[in-house]
Amino acid sequence: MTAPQVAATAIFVVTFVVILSERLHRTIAGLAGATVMLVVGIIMGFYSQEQALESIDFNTLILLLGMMILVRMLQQTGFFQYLAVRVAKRTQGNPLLLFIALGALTTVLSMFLDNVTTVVLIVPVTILVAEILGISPVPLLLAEAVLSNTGGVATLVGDPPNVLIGSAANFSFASFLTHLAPIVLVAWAAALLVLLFVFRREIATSPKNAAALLQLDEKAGLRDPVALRKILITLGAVVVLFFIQGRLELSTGAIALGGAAAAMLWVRPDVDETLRRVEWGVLLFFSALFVTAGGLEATGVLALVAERVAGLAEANLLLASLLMLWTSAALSAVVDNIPFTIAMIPVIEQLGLLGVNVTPLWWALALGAGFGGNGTPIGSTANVITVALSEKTRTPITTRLWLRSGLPVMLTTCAVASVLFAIFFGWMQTR
Amino acid sequence: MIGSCMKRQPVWVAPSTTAHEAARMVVAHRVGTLPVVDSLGVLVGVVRLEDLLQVFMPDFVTLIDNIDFVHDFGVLETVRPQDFPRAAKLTMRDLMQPPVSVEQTCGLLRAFATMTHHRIRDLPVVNHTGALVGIASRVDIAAAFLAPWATLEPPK
Repeated sequence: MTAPQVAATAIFVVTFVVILSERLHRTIAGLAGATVMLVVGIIMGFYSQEQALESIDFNTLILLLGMMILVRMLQQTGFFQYLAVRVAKRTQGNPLLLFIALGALTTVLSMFLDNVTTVVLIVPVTILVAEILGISPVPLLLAEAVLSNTGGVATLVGDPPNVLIGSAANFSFASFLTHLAPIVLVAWAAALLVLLFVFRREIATSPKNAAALLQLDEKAGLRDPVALRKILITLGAVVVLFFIQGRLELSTGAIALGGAAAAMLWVRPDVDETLRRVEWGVLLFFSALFVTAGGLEATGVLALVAERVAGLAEANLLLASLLMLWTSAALSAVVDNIPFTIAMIPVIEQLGLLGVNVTPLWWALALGAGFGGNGTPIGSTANVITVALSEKTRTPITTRLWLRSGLPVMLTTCAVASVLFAIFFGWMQTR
Repeated sequence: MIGSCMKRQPVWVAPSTTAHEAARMVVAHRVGTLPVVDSLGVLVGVVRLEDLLQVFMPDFVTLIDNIDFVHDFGVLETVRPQDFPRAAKLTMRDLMQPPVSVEQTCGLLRAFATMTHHRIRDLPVVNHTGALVGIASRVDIAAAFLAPWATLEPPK
Protein backbone atom coordinates (compact mmCIF):
# COMPACT_ATOMS: atom_id res chain seq x y z
CA MET A 1 0.00 0.00 0.00
CA THR A 2 1.15 3.52 -0.79
CA ALA A 3 1.35 6.33 1.78
CA PRO A 4 -1.87 8.04 0.56
CA GLN A 5 -3.68 4.71 0.77
CA VAL A 6 -2.55 4.19 4.35
CA ALA A 7 -3.49 7.77 5.31
CA ALA A 8 -6.93 7.62 3.64
CA THR A 9 -7.71 4.23 5.19
CA ALA A 10 -6.71 5.51 8.63
CA ILE A 11 -8.91 8.62 8.29
CA PHE A 12 -11.81 6.53 7.06
CA VAL A 13 -11.52 3.96 9.83
CA VAL A 14 -11.22 6.62 12.55
CA THR A 15 -14.27 8.46 11.17
CA PHE A 16 -16.21 5.21 11.10
CA VAL A 17 -15.25 4.30 14.65
CA VAL A 18 -16.15 7.75 15.97
CA ILE A 19 -19.53 7.61 14.22
CA LEU A 20 -20.23 4.17 15.64
CA SER A 21 -19.05 5.04 19.15
CA GLU A 22 -21.74 7.74 19.26
CA ARG A 23 -19.43 9.90 21.35
CA LEU A 24 -20.03 12.68 18.83
CA HIS A 25 -23.21 13.44 16.90
CA ARG A 26 -22.84 11.48 13.67
CA THR A 27 -23.24 14.57 11.50
CA ILE A 28 -20.39 16.33 13.29
CA ALA A 29 -18.22 13.20 13.14
CA GLY A 30 -18.99 12.77 9.44
CA LEU A 31 -18.24 16.41 8.59
CA ALA A 32 -15.00 16.31 10.58
CA GLY A 33 -13.95 13.12 8.78
CA ALA A 34 -14.80 14.60 5.38
CA THR A 35 -12.81 17.75 6.15
CA VAL A 36 -9.75 15.85 7.33
CA MET A 37 -9.93 13.53 4.30
CA LEU A 38 -10.11 16.49 1.94
CA VAL A 39 -7.31 18.49 3.60
CA VAL A 40 -4.99 15.49 3.82
CA GLY A 41 -5.95 14.53 0.28
CA ILE A 42 -5.01 17.96 -1.04
CA ILE A 43 -1.71 17.99 0.90
CA MET A 44 -0.74 14.48 -0.21
CA GLY A 45 -2.14 15.04 -3.67
CA PHE A 46 -4.62 12.16 -3.88
CA TYR A 47 -7.90 14.07 -3.55
CA SER A 48 -9.08 17.42 -4.91
CA GLN A 49 -12.08 19.60 -4.10
CA GLU A 50 -13.53 18.83 -7.52
CA GLN A 51 -13.25 15.09 -6.87
CA ALA A 52 -14.86 15.56 -3.46
CA LEU A 53 -17.83 17.31 -5.05
CA GLU A 54 -18.10 14.63 -7.72
CA SER A 55 -18.16 11.89 -5.11
CA ILE A 56 -21.41 13.26 -3.64
CA ASP A 57 -24.40 11.39 -5.03
CA PHE A 58 -26.79 14.29 -5.48
CA ASN A 59 -29.59 12.06 -6.73
CA THR A 60 -29.66 10.33 -3.34
CA LEU A 61 -29.71 13.65 -1.49
CA ILE A 62 -32.44 15.10 -3.68
CA LEU A 63 -34.56 11.97 -3.47
CA LEU A 64 -34.29 11.98 0.33
CA LEU A 65 -35.03 15.71 0.49
CA GLY A 66 -38.08 15.41 -1.74
CA MET A 67 -39.51 12.49 0.24
CA MET A 68 -38.78 14.24 3.55
CA ILE A 69 -40.72 17.34 2.48
CA LEU A 70 -43.69 15.27 1.31
CA VAL A 71 -43.74 13.20 4.50
CA ARG A 72 -43.45 16.26 6.76
CA MET A 73 -46.39 17.85 4.98
CA LEU A 74 -48.40 14.65 5.35
CA GLN A 75 -47.43 14.34 9.00
CA GLN A 76 -48.82 17.80 9.80
CA THR A 77 -52.29 16.72 8.69
CA GLY A 78 -52.55 13.99 11.36
CA PHE A 79 -52.96 11.33 8.68
CA PHE A 80 -50.75 8.69 10.30
CA GLN A 81 -52.59 8.92 13.59
CA TYR A 82 -55.83 8.54 11.68
CA LEU A 83 -54.60 5.45 9.84
CA ALA A 84 -53.22 3.74 12.92
CA VAL A 85 -56.35 4.34 14.97
CA ARG A 86 -58.57 3.17 12.13
CA VAL A 87 -56.61 -0.02 11.70
CA ALA A 88 -56.56 -0.64 15.45
CA LYS A 89 -60.33 -0.17 15.73
CA ARG A 90 -60.91 -2.73 13.00
CA THR A 91 -59.27 -5.39 15.17
CA GLN A 92 -61.80 -4.80 17.99
CA GLY A 93 -58.90 -4.93 20.43
CA ASN A 94 -57.99 -8.56 19.74
CA PRO A 95 -54.24 -8.63 20.58
CA LEU A 96 -53.34 -11.11 17.84
CA LEU A 97 -55.17 -9.16 15.14
CA LEU A 98 -53.81 -5.89 16.53
CA PHE A 99 -50.30 -7.29 16.35
CA ILE A 100 -50.70 -8.36 12.74
CA ALA A 101 -52.65 -5.29 11.62
CA LEU A 102 -50.33 -2.66 13.12
CA GLY A 103 -47.33 -4.67 11.90
CA ALA A 104 -48.75 -4.79 8.37
CA LEU A 105 -49.60 -1.08 8.42
CA THR A 106 -46.06 -0.20 9.50
CA THR A 107 -44.64 -2.40 6.77
CA VAL A 108 -46.76 -0.87 4.03
CA LEU A 109 -45.99 2.67 5.19
CA SER A 110 -42.27 1.98 5.46
CA MET A 111 -42.21 0.71 1.90
CA PHE A 112 -42.88 4.24 0.72
CA LEU A 113 -41.72 6.39 3.63
CA ASP A 114 -38.49 6.11 5.51
CA ASN A 115 -38.57 3.74 8.47
CA VAL A 116 -37.67 6.32 11.06
CA THR A 117 -40.62 8.52 10.10
CA THR A 118 -42.89 5.51 10.11
CA VAL A 119 -42.02 4.40 13.62
CA VAL A 120 -41.94 7.95 14.99
CA LEU A 121 -45.52 8.37 13.80
CA ILE A 122 -46.94 4.94 14.56
CA VAL A 123 -45.26 4.09 17.87
CA PRO A 124 -46.97 6.83 19.97
CA VAL A 125 -50.41 5.80 18.66
CA THR A 126 -49.56 2.18 19.43
CA ILE A 127 -48.66 3.09 23.00
CA LEU A 128 -52.00 4.90 23.23
CA VAL A 129 -53.95 1.92 21.95
CA ALA A 130 -52.11 -0.54 24.19
CA GLU A 131 -52.59 1.65 27.26
CA ILE A 132 -56.31 2.19 26.87
CA LEU A 133 -56.73 -1.53 26.18
CA GLY A 134 -54.65 -2.42 29.19
CA ILE A 135 -52.17 -4.62 27.30
CA SER A 136 -48.37 -4.38 27.10
CA PRO A 137 -47.18 -2.15 24.24
CA VAL A 138 -43.74 -3.82 24.10
CA PRO A 139 -44.50 -6.69 21.65
CA LEU A 140 -46.32 -4.27 19.36
CA LEU A 141 -43.48 -1.74 19.39
CA LEU A 142 -40.85 -4.37 18.71
CA ALA A 143 -42.90 -5.81 15.88
CA GLU A 144 -43.33 -2.36 14.35
CA ALA A 145 -39.63 -1.57 14.37
CA VAL A 146 -38.67 -4.98 13.01
CA LEU A 147 -41.39 -5.12 10.37
CA SER A 148 -40.70 -1.57 9.20
CA ASN A 149 -37.04 -2.50 8.64
CA THR A 150 -38.17 -5.60 6.79
CA GLY A 151 -40.75 -3.80 4.66
CA GLY A 152 -38.32 -1.04 3.80
CA VAL A 153 -36.16 -3.50 1.88
CA ALA A 154 -38.90 -4.02 -0.72
CA THR A 155 -38.71 -0.69 -2.54
CA LEU A 156 -36.16 1.76 -3.84
CA VAL A 157 -37.34 4.46 -1.44
CA GLY A 158 -38.03 2.13 1.50
CA ASP A 159 -34.76 2.58 3.36
CA PRO A 160 -31.53 4.57 2.95
CA PRO A 161 -29.35 1.66 1.74
CA ASN A 162 -31.84 1.02 -1.07
CA VAL A 163 -31.86 4.70 -2.05
CA LEU A 164 -28.06 4.58 -2.20
CA ILE A 165 -27.95 1.29 -4.11
CA GLY A 166 -30.66 2.29 -6.55
CA SER A 167 -28.85 5.49 -7.30
CA ALA A 168 -25.38 3.96 -7.61
CA ALA A 169 -26.44 0.91 -9.64
CA ASN A 170 -29.02 2.86 -11.60
CA PHE A 171 -31.75 0.36 -10.76
CA SER A 172 -35.32 1.46 -11.37
CA PHE A 173 -38.10 1.54 -8.81
CA ALA A 174 -39.92 -1.23 -10.69
CA SER A 175 -36.80 -3.36 -10.73
CA PHE A 176 -36.56 -3.15 -6.92
CA LEU A 177 -40.17 -4.24 -6.65
CA THR A 178 -39.83 -7.19 -9.00
CA HIS A 179 -36.56 -8.42 -7.45
CA LEU A 180 -36.81 -7.64 -3.76
CA ALA A 181 -40.53 -7.35 -2.95
CA PRO A 182 -41.27 -11.08 -3.48
CA ILE A 183 -38.38 -12.06 -1.20
CA VAL A 184 -39.46 -9.46 1.35
CA LEU A 185 -43.01 -10.80 1.30
CA VAL A 186 -41.88 -14.30 2.27
CA ALA A 187 -39.33 -12.96 4.77
CA TRP A 188 -42.02 -10.70 6.25
CA ALA A 189 -44.32 -13.67 6.88
CA ALA A 190 -41.41 -15.56 8.43
CA ALA A 191 -40.55 -12.57 10.63
CA LEU A 192 -44.15 -12.30 11.77
CA LEU A 193 -44.25 -16.00 12.69
CA VAL A 194 -41.04 -15.68 14.70
CA LEU A 195 -42.44 -12.66 16.56
CA LEU A 196 -45.77 -14.37 17.19
CA PHE A 197 -43.87 -17.30 18.67
CA VAL A 198 -41.61 -15.14 20.85
CA PHE A 199 -44.54 -13.10 22.18
CA ARG A 200 -47.10 -15.94 22.24
CA ARG A 201 -47.81 -15.40 25.94
CA GLU A 202 -48.39 -11.62 25.70
CA ILE A 203 -50.60 -12.06 22.66
CA ALA A 204 -52.76 -14.62 24.45
CA THR A 205 -53.86 -12.09 27.12
CA SER A 206 -57.26 -10.56 26.57
CA PRO A 207 -57.65 -6.77 26.70
CA LYS A 208 -59.42 -5.32 29.73
CA ASN A 209 -61.34 -2.64 27.91
CA ALA A 210 -61.99 -3.06 24.21
CA ALA A 211 -64.90 -0.60 24.31
CA ALA A 212 -62.56 2.36 24.93
CA LEU A 213 -60.68 1.54 21.74
CA LEU A 214 -63.88 1.73 19.73
CA GLN A 215 -64.59 5.11 21.36
CA LEU A 216 -61.54 6.63 19.68
CA ASP A 217 -62.64 9.16 17.10
CA GLU A 218 -59.95 9.00 14.45
CA LYS A 219 -61.61 11.70 12.33
CA ALA A 220 -61.15 14.23 15.16
CA GLY A 221 -57.40 13.74 14.77
CA LEU A 222 -57.39 14.92 11.16
CA ARG A 223 -56.34 18.53 11.07
CA ASP A 224 -56.67 19.58 7.47
CA PRO A 225 -58.61 17.12 5.27
CA VAL A 226 -58.34 19.33 2.18
CA ALA A 227 -54.55 19.55 2.39
CA LEU A 228 -54.41 15.84 3.19
CA ARG A 229 -56.26 14.96 -0.02
CA LYS A 230 -53.97 17.14 -2.10
CA ILE A 231 -50.82 15.67 -0.53
CA LEU A 232 -52.06 12.09 -0.96
CA ILE A 233 -52.84 12.73 -4.63
CA THR A 234 -49.37 14.20 -5.13
CA LEU A 235 -47.74 11.31 -3.30
CA GLY A 236 -49.76 8.88 -5.39
CA ALA A 237 -48.57 10.60 -8.55
CA VAL A 238 -44.97 10.41 -7.31
CA VAL A 239 -45.30 6.66 -6.72
CA VAL A 240 -46.86 6.16 -10.17
CA LEU A 241 -44.00 8.12 -11.73
CA PHE A 242 -41.54 5.97 -9.75
CA PHE A 243 -43.07 2.89 -11.37
CA ILE A 244 -42.61 4.19 -14.92
CA GLN A 245 -39.41 6.06 -14.04
CA GLY A 246 -37.25 3.67 -16.12
CA ARG A 247 -39.17 4.48 -19.28
CA LEU A 248 -39.42 8.21 -18.55
CA GLU A 249 -35.63 8.51 -18.18
CA LEU A 250 -36.25 10.69 -15.16
CA SER A 251 -34.16 10.29 -12.02
CA THR A 252 -35.93 9.27 -8.82
CA GLY A 253 -34.57 12.43 -7.22
CA ALA A 254 -36.18 14.65 -9.85
CA ILE A 255 -39.53 12.90 -9.35
CA ALA A 256 -39.43 13.18 -5.55
CA LEU A 257 -38.34 16.81 -5.41
CA GLY A 258 -40.70 17.67 -8.26
CA GLY A 259 -43.50 16.05 -6.25
CA ALA A 260 -42.51 18.07 -3.17
CA ALA A 261 -42.55 21.26 -5.26
CA ALA A 262 -45.98 20.39 -6.68
CA ALA A 263 -47.39 19.61 -3.23
CA MET A 264 -46.07 22.87 -1.79
CA LEU A 265 -47.46 24.83 -4.73
CA TRP A 266 -50.87 23.19 -4.33
CA VAL A 267 -51.18 23.18 -0.53
CA ARG A 268 -49.21 26.37 0.29
CA PRO A 269 -48.01 25.18 3.70
CA ASP A 270 -45.99 27.36 6.06
CA VAL A 271 -42.76 26.89 4.08
CA ASP A 272 -40.36 27.76 6.91
CA GLU A 273 -42.15 25.38 9.26
CA THR A 274 -42.17 22.55 6.70
CA LEU A 275 -38.51 23.01 5.80
CA ARG A 276 -37.55 23.27 9.47
CA ARG A 277 -38.85 19.72 9.91
CA VAL A 278 -36.61 18.33 7.16
CA GLU A 279 -33.72 16.41 8.68
CA TRP A 280 -30.90 18.52 7.30
CA GLY A 281 -28.49 16.76 9.64
CA VAL A 282 -29.15 13.46 7.87
CA LEU A 283 -28.57 15.02 4.44
CA LEU A 284 -25.32 16.60 5.64
CA PHE A 285 -24.28 13.28 7.16
CA PHE A 286 -24.80 11.56 3.81
CA SER A 287 -22.83 14.25 1.97
CA ALA A 288 -19.97 14.02 4.45
CA LEU A 289 -19.82 10.23 4.14
CA PHE A 290 -19.78 10.47 0.35
CA VAL A 291 -16.81 12.84 0.53
CA THR A 292 -14.99 10.63 3.07
CA ALA A 293 -15.56 7.43 1.09
CA GLY A 294 -14.67 9.34 -2.10
CA GLY A 295 -11.20 10.07 -0.71
CA LEU A 296 -10.69 6.41 0.06
CA GLU A 297 -11.79 5.51 -3.45
CA ALA A 298 -9.48 8.11 -5.01
CA THR A 299 -6.42 6.42 -3.48
CA GLY A 300 -7.37 3.11 -5.07
CA VAL A 301 -7.73 1.21 -1.79
CA LEU A 302 -11.23 0.09 -2.64
CA ALA A 303 -10.01 -1.13 -6.03
CA LEU A 304 -7.46 -3.26 -4.16
CA VAL A 305 -10.24 -4.74 -2.02
CA ALA A 306 -12.27 -5.38 -5.16
CA GLU A 307 -9.34 -7.14 -6.85
CA ARG A 308 -9.00 -9.39 -3.83
CA VAL A 309 -12.59 -10.56 -3.96
CA ALA A 310 -12.91 -10.51 -7.76
CA GLY A 311 -11.45 -14.01 -7.97
CA LEU A 312 -14.14 -15.44 -5.76
CA ALA A 313 -16.90 -13.49 -7.52
CA GLU A 314 -15.77 -14.82 -10.89
CA ALA A 315 -15.40 -18.38 -9.66
CA ASN A 316 -18.71 -18.60 -7.80
CA LEU A 317 -20.99 -15.62 -8.10
CA LEU A 318 -23.75 -17.19 -5.99
CA LEU A 319 -21.40 -17.91 -3.12
CA ALA A 320 -19.98 -14.38 -3.37
CA SER A 321 -23.51 -12.94 -3.30
CA LEU A 322 -24.54 -14.96 -0.26
CA LEU A 323 -21.29 -13.98 1.43
CA MET A 324 -22.17 -10.37 0.67
CA LEU A 325 -25.66 -10.84 2.09
CA TRP A 326 -24.51 -12.35 5.38
CA THR A 327 -21.52 -10.04 5.82
CA SER A 328 -23.73 -7.00 5.24
CA ALA A 329 -26.31 -8.40 7.64
CA ALA A 330 -23.78 -9.12 10.38
CA LEU A 331 -22.17 -5.70 10.04
CA SER A 332 -25.48 -3.84 9.73
CA ALA A 333 -26.64 -5.44 12.95
CA VAL A 334 -23.85 -3.81 14.91
CA VAL A 335 -23.11 -0.66 12.90
CA ASP A 336 -25.22 1.95 11.17
CA ASN A 337 -26.02 0.53 7.73
CA ILE A 338 -25.74 3.90 5.97
CA PRO A 339 -21.95 4.38 6.28
CA PHE A 340 -21.50 0.67 5.62
CA THR A 341 -23.47 0.87 2.36
CA ILE A 342 -21.66 4.03 1.28
CA ALA A 343 -18.34 2.22 1.80
CA MET A 344 -19.47 -0.92 -0.04
CA ILE A 345 -20.81 0.88 -3.11
CA PRO A 346 -17.42 1.83 -4.61
CA VAL A 347 -16.12 -1.68 -3.94
CA ILE A 348 -18.97 -3.21 -5.95
CA GLU A 349 -18.53 -0.57 -8.65
CA GLN A 350 -14.85 -1.53 -8.92
CA LEU A 351 -15.80 -5.18 -9.22
CA GLY A 352 -18.07 -4.20 -12.08
CA LEU A 353 -15.14 -2.50 -13.80
CA LEU A 354 -13.19 -5.74 -13.44
CA GLY A 355 -15.85 -7.50 -15.50
CA VAL A 356 -17.86 -9.19 -12.75
CA ASN A 357 -21.67 -9.23 -13.13
CA VAL A 358 -22.33 -7.19 -10.01
CA THR A 359 -26.15 -7.13 -10.24
CA PRO A 360 -26.67 -10.01 -7.75
CA LEU A 361 -24.18 -8.36 -5.39
CA TRP A 362 -26.28 -5.17 -5.33
CA TRP A 363 -29.42 -7.15 -4.48
CA ALA A 364 -27.54 -9.11 -1.83
CA LEU A 365 -26.22 -5.88 -0.29
CA ALA A 366 -29.75 -4.43 -0.16
CA LEU A 367 -31.15 -7.57 1.50
CA GLY A 368 -28.29 -7.94 3.96
CA ALA A 369 -28.11 -4.28 4.98
CA GLY A 370 -31.89 -4.19 5.41
CA PHE A 371 -32.54 -7.45 7.26
CA GLY A 372 -29.33 -7.16 9.30
CA GLY A 373 -30.66 -4.02 10.93
CA ASN A 374 -33.15 -6.13 12.90
CA GLY A 375 -30.51 -7.97 14.90
CA THR A 376 -29.81 -5.47 17.67
CA PRO A 377 -31.42 -2.37 19.16
CA ILE A 378 -28.72 -0.28 17.44
CA GLY A 379 -28.97 -2.04 14.08
CA SER A 380 -31.12 0.62 12.47
CA THR A 381 -32.19 4.14 13.26
CA ALA A 382 -35.79 2.92 13.50
CA ASN A 383 -34.73 0.55 16.29
CA VAL A 384 -32.89 3.28 18.16
CA ILE A 385 -35.94 5.57 17.94
CA THR A 386 -38.36 2.85 19.02
CA VAL A 387 -36.24 1.99 22.05
CA ALA A 388 -35.87 5.69 22.89
CA LEU A 389 -39.65 6.18 22.69
CA SER A 390 -40.30 3.09 24.78
CA GLU A 391 -37.96 4.46 27.44
CA LYS A 392 -40.41 7.31 27.94
CA THR A 393 -43.01 4.75 28.98
CA ARG A 394 -43.39 2.52 32.01
CA THR A 395 -42.32 -0.52 29.99
CA PRO A 396 -39.00 0.18 28.25
CA ILE A 397 -37.61 -2.27 25.67
CA THR A 398 -34.44 -3.86 27.03
CA THR A 399 -31.48 -4.99 24.94
CA ARG A 400 -32.04 -8.53 26.20
CA LEU A 401 -35.62 -8.51 24.99
CA TRP A 402 -34.49 -7.22 21.63
CA LEU A 403 -31.86 -9.92 21.24
CA ARG A 404 -34.50 -12.51 22.16
CA SER A 405 -36.86 -11.31 19.42
CA GLY A 406 -35.02 -9.20 16.83
CA LEU A 407 -32.01 -11.46 16.46
CA PRO A 408 -34.06 -14.58 15.60
CA VAL A 409 -35.98 -12.46 13.12
CA MET A 410 -32.73 -11.30 11.51
CA LEU A 411 -31.39 -14.84 11.22
CA THR A 412 -34.69 -16.19 9.89
CA THR A 413 -35.17 -13.45 7.31
CA CYS A 414 -31.58 -13.74 6.11
CA ALA A 415 -31.94 -17.52 5.83
CA VAL A 416 -35.21 -17.16 3.90
CA ALA A 417 -33.63 -14.55 1.66
CA SER A 418 -30.59 -16.80 1.02
CA VAL A 419 -32.72 -19.75 0.01
CA LEU A 420 -34.89 -17.68 -2.32
CA PHE A 421 -31.81 -15.94 -3.66
CA ALA A 422 -30.24 -19.29 -4.56
CA ILE A 423 -33.44 -20.70 -6.09
CA PHE A 424 -34.06 -17.63 -8.23
CA PHE A 425 -30.40 -16.83 -8.83
CA GLY A 426 -30.95 -16.48 -12.58
CA TRP A 427 -33.49 -13.72 -11.95
CA MET A 428 -31.17 -12.06 -9.41
CA GLN A 429 -28.56 -11.67 -12.12
CA THR A 430 -30.86 -9.37 -14.08
CA ARG A 431 -31.54 -5.74 -13.35
CA MET B 1 -46.65 45.46 44.84
CA ILE B 2 -47.13 41.76 45.15
CA GLY B 3 -46.39 41.86 48.90
CA SER B 4 -49.77 43.51 49.45
CA CYS B 5 -51.89 40.94 47.65
CA MET B 6 -50.16 37.64 48.41
CA LYS B 7 -51.38 35.00 50.85
CA ARG B 8 -49.10 35.29 53.87
CA GLN B 9 -49.30 31.79 55.29
CA PRO B 10 -48.78 29.54 52.29
CA VAL B 11 -49.24 25.79 52.46
CA TRP B 12 -45.76 24.36 51.94
CA VAL B 13 -44.00 20.99 51.90
CA ALA B 14 -40.50 19.74 52.66
CA PRO B 15 -38.27 17.93 50.14
CA SER B 16 -38.85 14.72 52.09
CA THR B 17 -42.66 15.02 52.06
CA THR B 18 -44.16 12.01 50.30
CA ALA B 19 -46.52 12.22 47.35
CA HIS B 20 -49.15 10.64 49.54
CA GLU B 21 -48.93 13.41 52.16
CA ALA B 22 -48.83 16.03 49.42
CA ALA B 23 -52.02 14.60 47.96
CA ARG B 24 -53.66 14.88 51.37
CA MET B 25 -52.62 18.56 51.59
CA VAL B 26 -53.99 19.33 48.14
CA VAL B 27 -57.30 17.76 49.11
CA ALA B 28 -57.46 19.49 52.52
CA HIS B 29 -56.40 22.99 51.42
CA ARG B 30 -57.55 22.94 47.79
CA VAL B 31 -54.26 24.40 46.56
CA GLY B 32 -52.75 23.83 43.13
CA THR B 33 -49.12 24.65 43.85
CA LEU B 34 -46.98 23.35 46.71
CA PRO B 35 -43.81 25.36 47.40
CA VAL B 36 -40.98 23.10 48.59
CA VAL B 37 -39.05 24.63 51.45
CA ASP B 38 -35.87 23.36 53.13
CA SER B 39 -35.11 23.32 56.87
CA LEU B 40 -33.94 26.97 56.74
CA GLY B 41 -37.20 28.10 55.17
CA VAL B 42 -35.56 28.68 51.78
CA LEU B 43 -37.68 27.97 48.70
CA VAL B 44 -35.93 25.14 46.83
CA GLY B 45 -38.61 23.98 44.42
CA VAL B 46 -42.24 23.91 43.42
CA VAL B 47 -44.58 20.96 42.95
CA ARG B 48 -47.60 21.66 40.80
CA LEU B 49 -50.69 19.51 40.35
CA GLU B 50 -49.32 18.53 36.95
CA ASP B 51 -46.18 17.12 38.57
CA LEU B 52 -48.24 15.16 41.09
CA LEU B 53 -50.65 13.77 38.49
CA GLN B 54 -47.89 13.03 35.98
CA VAL B 55 -47.21 9.82 37.91
CA PHE B 56 -50.67 8.53 37.00
CA MET B 57 -50.85 9.95 33.49
CA PRO B 58 -50.69 7.44 30.62
CA ASP B 59 -47.48 7.56 28.63
CA PHE B 60 -49.17 8.48 25.37
CA VAL B 61 -50.29 11.86 26.70
CA THR B 62 -46.72 13.15 26.42
CA LEU B 63 -46.00 11.32 23.16
CA ILE B 64 -48.96 12.43 21.04
CA ASP B 65 -49.44 16.08 20.17
CA ASN B 66 -53.19 15.78 19.72
CA ILE B 67 -55.36 13.77 22.09
CA ASP B 68 -58.70 15.34 21.15
CA PHE B 69 -59.73 12.13 19.42
CA VAL B 70 -59.34 10.03 22.57
CA HIS B 71 -62.81 10.24 24.08
CA ASP B 72 -62.25 7.53 26.66
CA PHE B 73 -59.07 6.64 28.50
CA GLY B 74 -60.36 3.10 29.01
CA VAL B 75 -58.77 1.06 31.78
CA LEU B 76 -56.57 4.02 32.70
CA GLU B 77 -59.52 5.85 34.26
CA THR B 78 -60.37 2.96 36.53
CA VAL B 79 -56.93 2.44 38.08
CA ARG B 80 -56.64 3.98 41.54
CA PRO B 81 -53.60 5.99 42.65
CA GLN B 82 -53.02 3.47 45.44
CA ASP B 83 -52.49 0.81 42.76
CA PHE B 84 -49.25 2.52 41.73
CA PRO B 85 -46.57 1.16 44.05
CA ARG B 86 -44.11 3.64 42.57
CA ALA B 87 -46.29 6.61 43.53
CA ALA B 88 -46.20 5.86 47.25
CA LYS B 89 -42.41 6.00 47.37
CA LEU B 90 -42.08 9.33 45.57
CA THR B 91 -41.13 12.41 47.55
CA MET B 92 -41.28 16.08 46.66
CA ARG B 93 -37.56 15.91 45.85
CA ASP B 94 -38.38 13.58 42.95
CA LEU B 95 -41.30 15.61 41.64
CA MET B 96 -40.34 19.24 42.20
CA GLN B 97 -39.42 21.70 39.49
CA PRO B 98 -36.89 24.52 39.90
CA PRO B 99 -38.76 27.40 41.55
CA VAL B 100 -39.78 30.61 39.82
CA SER B 101 -40.28 33.28 42.44
CA VAL B 102 -40.24 37.04 42.99
CA GLU B 103 -39.49 39.30 45.96
CA GLN B 104 -42.19 41.17 47.88
CA THR B 105 -41.38 44.46 46.15
CA CYS B 106 -42.10 43.08 42.69
CA GLY B 107 -44.70 45.08 40.74
CA LEU B 108 -48.03 43.44 39.88
CA LEU B 109 -47.66 43.64 36.13
CA ARG B 110 -44.15 42.18 36.27
CA ALA B 111 -45.41 39.41 38.56
CA PHE B 112 -48.24 38.57 36.17
CA ALA B 113 -45.90 38.62 33.17
CA THR B 114 -43.50 36.28 35.01
CA MET B 115 -46.30 33.79 35.56
CA THR B 116 -47.51 34.01 31.98
CA HIS B 117 -43.98 33.59 30.69
CA HIS B 118 -43.26 30.51 32.81
CA ARG B 119 -46.80 29.13 32.37
CA ILE B 120 -47.44 28.85 36.09
CA ARG B 121 -50.61 29.64 38.03
CA ASP B 122 -49.21 30.55 41.43
CA LEU B 123 -46.17 32.66 42.17
CA PRO B 124 -44.18 32.07 45.39
CA VAL B 125 -42.84 35.23 47.02
CA VAL B 126 -39.50 35.20 48.86
CA ASN B 127 -37.52 37.67 50.95
CA HIS B 128 -33.95 38.75 50.18
CA THR B 129 -32.54 35.55 51.75
CA GLY B 130 -34.69 33.37 49.54
CA ALA B 131 -37.03 32.32 52.36
CA LEU B 132 -40.67 31.75 51.41
CA VAL B 133 -42.91 34.53 52.77
CA GLY B 134 -46.07 34.13 50.72
CA ILE B 135 -47.71 32.98 47.52
CA ALA B 136 -50.00 34.77 45.07
CA SER B 137 -52.32 33.18 42.54
CA ARG B 138 -52.94 34.72 39.15
CA VAL B 139 -56.38 35.76 40.38
CA ASP B 140 -54.86 37.48 43.47
CA ILE B 141 -52.51 39.46 41.28
CA ALA B 142 -54.97 40.31 38.52
CA ALA B 143 -57.66 41.35 41.02
CA ALA B 144 -55.19 43.60 42.84
CA PHE B 145 -54.10 45.16 39.57
CA LEU B 146 -57.65 45.67 38.30
CA ALA B 147 -59.05 46.93 41.64
CA PRO B 148 -58.50 50.68 40.99
CA TRP B 149 -60.08 50.27 37.57
CA ALA B 150 -63.10 48.43 38.94
CA THR B 151 -63.88 51.22 41.43
CA LEU B 152 -63.94 53.91 38.71
CA GLU B 153 -67.29 55.12 37.51
CA PRO B 154 -68.05 53.66 34.06
CA PRO B 155 -67.59 56.33 31.36
CA LYS B 156 -70.83 57.93 30.25
